[in-house]
Amino acid sequence: MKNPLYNRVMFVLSLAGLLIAGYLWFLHATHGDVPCGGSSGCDKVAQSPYARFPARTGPYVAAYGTLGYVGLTVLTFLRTLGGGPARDRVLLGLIVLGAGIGTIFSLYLTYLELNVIHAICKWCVASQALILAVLVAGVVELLQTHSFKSVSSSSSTGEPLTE
Amino acid sequence: MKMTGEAKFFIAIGVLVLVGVGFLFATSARPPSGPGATPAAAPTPTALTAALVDELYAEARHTKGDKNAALTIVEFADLECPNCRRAYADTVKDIEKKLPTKFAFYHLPLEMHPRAVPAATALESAAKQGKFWEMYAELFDQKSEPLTDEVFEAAAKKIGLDVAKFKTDLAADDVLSAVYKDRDHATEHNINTTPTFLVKDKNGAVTSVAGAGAFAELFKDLQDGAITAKPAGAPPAGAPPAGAPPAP
Repeated sequence: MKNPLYNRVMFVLSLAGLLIAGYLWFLHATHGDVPCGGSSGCDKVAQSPYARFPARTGPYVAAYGTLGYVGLTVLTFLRTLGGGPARDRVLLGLIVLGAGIGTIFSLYLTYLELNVIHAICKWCVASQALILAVLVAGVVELLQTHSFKSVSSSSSTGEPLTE
Repeated sequence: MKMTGEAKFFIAIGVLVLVGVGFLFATSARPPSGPGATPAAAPTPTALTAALVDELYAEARHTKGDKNAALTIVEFADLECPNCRRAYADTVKDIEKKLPTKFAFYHLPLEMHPRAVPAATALESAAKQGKFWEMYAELFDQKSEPLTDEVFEAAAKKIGLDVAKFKTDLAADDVLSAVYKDRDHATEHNINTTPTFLVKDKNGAVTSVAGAGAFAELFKDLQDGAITAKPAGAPPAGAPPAGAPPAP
């Protein structure tokens, strides 16, 4: 990891996402009202069949979000433990892949909110912004530090992983 | 694999966040509830006018009755609401036999009723096969609690729907979207109680009532399609009953 800043940013964003998704999952589990800053959008989304995936029958979407953010948090942490550039590249690749899947899923949920449910949940928007930010940070780091050129260069010179 | 300084930094952030969240949970007080609690501010009611009733009737996707009738009634209801069922049994069921009426229906599924949205989608699925009002009658007459998918399927069979198509349509996005569009109409006009009836009589006078009893009284007092008296418990004419507590 040439520049630990990206990983720190992704760690903090994932942690924030974990808190939001975990909080929403907790509210679902306890049948609590979702505070929404004066609007009823969050409850409308939470009460809709699309609060679960697959719709109506599956686990809560917030549960997927919580597990996804746990995964991203763990992956960013694992990168701090060293282990060589190849391992770091795999971990960063998994982060980008996870954030990419999360972003696509978020876009699908946004489509449902706008076109089917006709309500916007601010918590969901915050989580969608966070997952997108993780993806952007991951892709930027991947492009800056893990291009084929830099990998082969660092491998040949035996450049140690950060720290 | 040794613990690096960066790893310790991450652990410290994680622990700080956990401690912060724990502290917030431990110290956060539940919002007051019960009789002593300060009620939420009631929304500002939208002015009820003859034009609004006409507009809602014209925009409704589900209408029935005599299109030339002078009396217009627009219902906002939730199939899981006991008061709505009572209003149906007491008044709505035979409304057209008693007075020529233009009748329109809007979904207003309340959040407190977990089966209200699925029931509304059952109506919309039936509407796709041209049998909205048959399903409406069937589900409002339904004695089963709760309104399960099996109840919908049995009702679909009874009224002669293509059950396979009905079940497919239940999960269709456009069906759910139709329900939420209706609810948006209610929200737009600050109607948050079920059942709510907006009534325009033959003279263009308008009123709104919420609840089965109030609507039954109003309807009883409609003479020759004219509003003659304000029923007890009705909100002031000129405004929908916004801010009233939702029916259970």
